[in-house]
Amino acid sequence: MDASEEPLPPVIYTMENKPIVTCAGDQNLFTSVYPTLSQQLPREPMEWRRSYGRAPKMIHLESNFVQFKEELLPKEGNKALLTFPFLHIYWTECCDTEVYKATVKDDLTKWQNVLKAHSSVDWLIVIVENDAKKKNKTNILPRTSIVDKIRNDFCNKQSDRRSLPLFSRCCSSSRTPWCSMTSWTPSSLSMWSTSGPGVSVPPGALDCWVFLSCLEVLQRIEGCCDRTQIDSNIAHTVGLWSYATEKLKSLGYLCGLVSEKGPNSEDLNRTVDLLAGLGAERPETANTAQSPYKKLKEALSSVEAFEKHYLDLSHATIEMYTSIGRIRSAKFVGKDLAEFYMRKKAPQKAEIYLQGALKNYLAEGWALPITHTRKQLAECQKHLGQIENYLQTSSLLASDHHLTEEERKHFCQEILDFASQPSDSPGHKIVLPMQSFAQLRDLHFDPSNAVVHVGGVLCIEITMYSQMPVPVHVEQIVVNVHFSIEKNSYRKTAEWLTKHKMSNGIINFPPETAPFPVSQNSLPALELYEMFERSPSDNSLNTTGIICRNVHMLLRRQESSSSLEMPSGVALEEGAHVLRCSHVTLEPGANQITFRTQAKEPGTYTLRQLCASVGSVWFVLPHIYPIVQYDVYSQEPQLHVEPLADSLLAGIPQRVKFTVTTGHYTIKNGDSLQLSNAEAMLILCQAESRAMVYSNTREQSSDAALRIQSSDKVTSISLPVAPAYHVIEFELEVLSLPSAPALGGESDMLGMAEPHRKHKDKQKTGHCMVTTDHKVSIDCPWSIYSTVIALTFSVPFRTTHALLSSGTRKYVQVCVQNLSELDFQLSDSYLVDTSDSTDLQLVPLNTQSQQPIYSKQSVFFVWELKWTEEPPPSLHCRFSVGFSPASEEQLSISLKPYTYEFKVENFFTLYNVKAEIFPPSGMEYCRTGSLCSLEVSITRLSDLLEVDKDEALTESDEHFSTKLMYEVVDNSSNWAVCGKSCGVISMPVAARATHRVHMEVMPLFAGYLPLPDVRLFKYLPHHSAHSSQLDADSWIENDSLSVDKHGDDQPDSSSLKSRGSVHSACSSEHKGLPMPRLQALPAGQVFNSSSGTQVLVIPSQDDHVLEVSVT
Amino acid sequence: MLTTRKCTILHLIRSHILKNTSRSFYFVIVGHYDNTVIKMKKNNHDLDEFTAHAALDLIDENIWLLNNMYLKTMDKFNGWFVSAFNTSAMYYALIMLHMNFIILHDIKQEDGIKHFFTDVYDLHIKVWYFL
Repeated sequence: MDASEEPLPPVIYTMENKPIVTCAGDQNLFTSVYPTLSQQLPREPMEWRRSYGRAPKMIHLESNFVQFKEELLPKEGNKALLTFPFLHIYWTECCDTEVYKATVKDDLTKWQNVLKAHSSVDWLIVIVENDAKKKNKTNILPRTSIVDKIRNDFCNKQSDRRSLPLFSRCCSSSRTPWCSMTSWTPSSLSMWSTSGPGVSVPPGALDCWVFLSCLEVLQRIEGCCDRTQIDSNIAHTVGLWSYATEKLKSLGYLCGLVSEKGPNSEDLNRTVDLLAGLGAERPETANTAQSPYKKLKEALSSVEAFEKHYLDLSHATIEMYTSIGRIRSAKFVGKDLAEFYMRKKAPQKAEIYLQGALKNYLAEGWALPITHTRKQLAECQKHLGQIENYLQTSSLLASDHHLTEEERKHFCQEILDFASQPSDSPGHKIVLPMQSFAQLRDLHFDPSNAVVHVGGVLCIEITMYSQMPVPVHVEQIVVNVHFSIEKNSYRKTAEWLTKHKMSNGIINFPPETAPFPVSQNSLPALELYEMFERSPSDNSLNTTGIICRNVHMLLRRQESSSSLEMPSGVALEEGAHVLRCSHVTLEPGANQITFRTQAKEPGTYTLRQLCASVGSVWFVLPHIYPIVQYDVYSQEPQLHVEPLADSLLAGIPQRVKFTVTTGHYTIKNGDSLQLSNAEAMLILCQAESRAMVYSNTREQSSDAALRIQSSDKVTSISLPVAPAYHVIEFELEVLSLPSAPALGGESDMLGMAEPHRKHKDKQKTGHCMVTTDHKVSIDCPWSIYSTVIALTFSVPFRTTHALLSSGTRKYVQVCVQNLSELDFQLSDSYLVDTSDSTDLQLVPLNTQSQQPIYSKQSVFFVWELKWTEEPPPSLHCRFSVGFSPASEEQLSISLKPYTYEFKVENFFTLYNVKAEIFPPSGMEYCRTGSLCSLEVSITRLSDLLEVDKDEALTESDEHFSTKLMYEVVDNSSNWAVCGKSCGVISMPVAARATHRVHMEVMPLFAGYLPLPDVRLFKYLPHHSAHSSQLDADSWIENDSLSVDKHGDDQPDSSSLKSRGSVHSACSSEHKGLPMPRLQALPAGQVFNSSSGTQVLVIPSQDDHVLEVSVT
Repeated sequence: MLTTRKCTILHLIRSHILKNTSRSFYFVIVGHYDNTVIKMKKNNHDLDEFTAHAALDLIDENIWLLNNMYLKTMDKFNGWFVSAFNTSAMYYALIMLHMNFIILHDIKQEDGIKHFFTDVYDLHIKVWYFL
């Protein structure tokens, strides 16, 4: 059981029942042949064409050879396969007609009759000729006679059968006996056709057989098919046409029918042999006008006939291949045809086929066929006298590495020989593309940025890779240059030069990759996308695939361009501008060639063509790509002045860089820059100033001393001597004197209750530095016009002031803010009263005389104001402080101090406001939610002063009073003010006069709460009877309480004027209406003695939620 | 990169051929544009490349008819059998997309040639993937 489960070995069928072949005639002869026959026959594979559409199989067949007996022949109706003789062979060695007539013919007739009686139609007669036997005979007839006789006697009777002449192999190695004939079906031919070991046929015999077989098959096909069928089956028959063409060609070559002189005697002998081997034409075609047999016989009979038949066949084959799109095969046949034409000395006919084939190989980049075809083409062109084409092909071949060194040298020499010939017409040039001769690999400019000034020298070094196998002497290598005046003059400036320096100035040219498919580079890449098609009902995937979206681009017909081997219309450009290099020997491989030129006209020069001349032959590279350009510039002299740092700071020495670009001007001895001094800017002369002199490309430099002479109005800088197109650079120190900024008014004061400010200087809100511009006029030696340059300096400090009060004591605070990136050292701060009132004293509270001020930080200075009598209504102050950069060790000059002027007005305290909050009676502390009492007392501190004299002041009975409005506001919403939160009071203008106001407030939070603000305004009467309460209400925002009206109806137009500066709350729709005005009292006039005090508020007991405010 | 790949493939194929073949042959890998990518030969015939080139006509016709990558012996010329292998049938997503392997050989040996092609294809894929 186990054994049955093992895999079965492959079944090899051995032939137990071999097909029976009978042998009649000369039995001894058959016995001598039998061993070879029985061995060799099974080795030949045969095609077994099977019925019912099954694929044919190659099989090896063994035969059982038996002696012919009539009994072996099947009786009628007997269809037994195993005993059925499939083939009957008659063997004879007869070469003598007498013997044939006497015995063999008779024997054959009997054999045939027996076969006929049994309806056996598959028979074969084999005639074996023996050299040894033949030699002994003297009355030898031509070898065909016996065969002819047998054919006449027996084969003619078989006209109803399909038959083909068959060249069977012969048993002898001798030349003559090789032919036999049969009435065997073509499908069985292969059994006999392949040449085997030890068996030979005369040269050409197989070719004849193949040729005839092919044509017979084709003829049969043509006989049974109509034109349409034939056309539709070209793909299957064209192979036979091609094969027949090929065989006829080889027969032609063999028989000397293609050679120039025609066949020689040996060729003729060979032809006779072959023709004899063909034997007589079969009777069924013998009477037709055309048959393969006649065709072959005719073709071999004369040179002209061969040509005709060969051309017919070739053209037919090419046409058929072309019609079914087998272009490559068509070209291949065409190439053979071209070879034939070349042999026949018809190069003009060969050329078109060679060009066609070559184009095809070039398009697909098949190197060896290209080389091979080119070689043929070169020969063709040489014969045709197409000198240019021949030279071009020669140059391509000379650079072709698929050829041997000798071959390459030969083609190179062809070019050189032609070039050295004295030309018929002097000056005539043969222009060829350079690519095959030499290739431009790289290019290098010196100077590397490819920019040169007028008069300057430019070097261009190129690397040419010579493709020639031997050194070639080139008379001249020329670069044609196109000149254009470029509109963009920027490319020519020194600025461009310094910014656009190329890394190495080397331009590489892409290597030529020929031979390579021409179409390859131009074809786009495949654009492939996935494609999913889903069912609309359940979204399941129906189809998936890949789509090529640019198939129309890929599959479109390639444009049939002009022949690739023709000179592609390269034209020599004749330009005014050329770069030339004479007498150069190009060695095989890389060669360095240097062109030198002196720049003349300014503009852009584009390298267009590269030409190399070898005698009358010019190799031209028509376009140099990538584009190579160099620029020649002419430059006006220029002066640039720019700060070394980002911005210049006022008040301290700053470095400024001077750049003189000489351009076309040469700086002579004595040339100087004359600077007209700006008023507030000093040019600091240093003992040792030096200038650097560079060439424009910054490659060379030197330094020279700089002489600076300064007078009150003019500073003269003597420039060092410098040639044209150089740059002189030097640095100078300048100092912008700090100018006193505009007067800082009262409005700049800090700490005002109602801040509003007017900008009187350039100081912007934020932290930008104030700038000042200084213009300097410079006279340059190259121009009669002055150059005006503007330098902008930034003031490093920003200063603000504030008036501080403590009761009636007054202080002035000055804040100095350092906006710059530098640290400074401040020293010797002063504050002086410029109005010079003797009564006033400014007592500094700062003790340090030196004070560092770091970048982005501030320093405060405070002075106390002291006076003995009535203080002045206003104060003009000037603050000054010395400063120097903290990092500088020692400055050569003493710097001016920084000053700041400002004015302080109405600084004397007139009113003291005091607010107090008391808990409800009987309670120790204020509680949230319970009403507390707020007491405000306003106390006048002085008697009538000058500042009091305004519209609000009223006089009655020698007593003066003024109207004030108070307002209680709690911006932090800690308190709810109950009842009136504001009111107008009439305040007696007398020292110690006090006005008290009571209000009720309710704390909203527990904790230490700051008191609500009490604000005091001057109440200026309105001047119109129509002023309404609404108006008054609108002045005080968020207050439901009315303001008391006062019946002062005195019209005053000035009230309108001053309105703008009064209360900011005034809305725009009331503009122009006369109404009472509120004026904030200046901060210095009111002192709030209770500011900063806090009241303890405890939470109410029944509060569920405890809210504590901590301030 | 391409050169490295090409060299590697060439090396691998050469060693493979030397290991497996002692007969005359001409082998060529034909690229997407019908250009020769790699070629190798062991004989002295001049016309091999012409024959291989002309065989492209038959390959072009047959790749649309056959589903196999191995296109068997397509042509016979001057005693050479021309066998081919086409990669475009399946591996369209690869960069190599469309390549033909063509070998000219002097003995008819379907299985051996098929194995040879499969091996070369295998090498080719590996080199393209891993280099």
